[in-house]
Amino acid sequence: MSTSAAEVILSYEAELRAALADLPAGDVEALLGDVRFHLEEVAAETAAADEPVDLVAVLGPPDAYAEELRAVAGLPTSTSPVGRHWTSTWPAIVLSVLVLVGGAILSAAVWTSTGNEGYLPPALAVFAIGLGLTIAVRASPESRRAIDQRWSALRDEMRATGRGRELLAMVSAAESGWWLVRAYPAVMLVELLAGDPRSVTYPLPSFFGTGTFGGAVVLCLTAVASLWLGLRFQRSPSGRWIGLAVDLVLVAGLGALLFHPGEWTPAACNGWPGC
Amino acid sequence: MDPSQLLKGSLDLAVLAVLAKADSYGYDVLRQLRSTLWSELGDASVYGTLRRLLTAGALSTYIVPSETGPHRKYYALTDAGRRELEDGRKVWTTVATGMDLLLEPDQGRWHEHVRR
Repeated sequence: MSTSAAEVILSYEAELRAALADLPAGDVEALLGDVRFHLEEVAAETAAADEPVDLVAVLGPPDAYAEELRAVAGLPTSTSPVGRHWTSTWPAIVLSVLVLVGGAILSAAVWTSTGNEGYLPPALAVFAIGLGLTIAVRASPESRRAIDQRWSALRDEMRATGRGRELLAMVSAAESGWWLVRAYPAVMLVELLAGDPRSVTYPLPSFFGTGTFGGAVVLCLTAVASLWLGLRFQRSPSGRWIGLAVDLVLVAGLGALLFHPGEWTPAACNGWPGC
Repeated sequence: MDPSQLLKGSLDLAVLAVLAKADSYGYDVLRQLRSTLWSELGDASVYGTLRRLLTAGALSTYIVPSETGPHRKYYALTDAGRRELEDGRKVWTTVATGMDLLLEPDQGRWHEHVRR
């Protein structure tokens, strides 16, 4: 089987899994346990010579296929329009805001009690944002599915044009780069949240007093682990969502690191601007 | 009338009947059912039915390697599947005979049956 046919099959399967993401894992496995074999058979039986496999033309859109599978299995169908799913995200959004407000109050309490205009308030706020977003994502599979569908449609539109394909290739390359880069805010955030602020150093972390060499080693190991995790979870729809939630926390953390270094007053700044 | 509604409750039996003739793989089962029952029968309906029957223990599977294409996953009836097919055949015969009678344009046959 050609690489492109294998990609088409994997992509179709991933979209099926995304369309069934609101079901318990056992039900999804019961429905899709053999689907890779089946899609390969369909591709082999229907592919015309010298033409790419087009599973959507043969089987219909993955969403419709998933709906039919639900109906055959006697599982609840999701026939409501995509837009309607947004209403079910409101409880999750309210919950996120509550967590955020809770985080801010906690930050203020810590700030007041320690008298330290330091790293803790922004760090706790980052934590609260991340927790809220993660809860929002985990609590509302319908919204995940709706966003997955929209993203899938957008990607199909982009693939239809040369410029769109270039842009997608660029995004894919940038994603791998980000998996390496995110190791830095991850290590710095761990040190800021769990360590002694006076021992935090910039730009290379000393990582709990192991020195800049130790910090550099930890950074490299984290970068490799991050790349591995990114590649591993890329193919799973739920893995991509968890990755996105983690990335948002790290981006917020990176922002906090860049815009508030002066407030943290670490003892060893190593010439970091604003210290 | 949409045949899919009629087939809804009898697809299990149709799939079991196809596999009673010979073991087969998913797409081939679909092809046989499309040529026999309804040309627009959905792939997902047949694949989903195979999965459900497999989970229920009515079918077993085995892999047949291929040198030219992908390996095929063949489905075969188990003893439980054969029993289900026999039970289904009896129910189908009863229902089909009754439906034939109901749809019979000759009113005389119908009245004769009701009087009995």
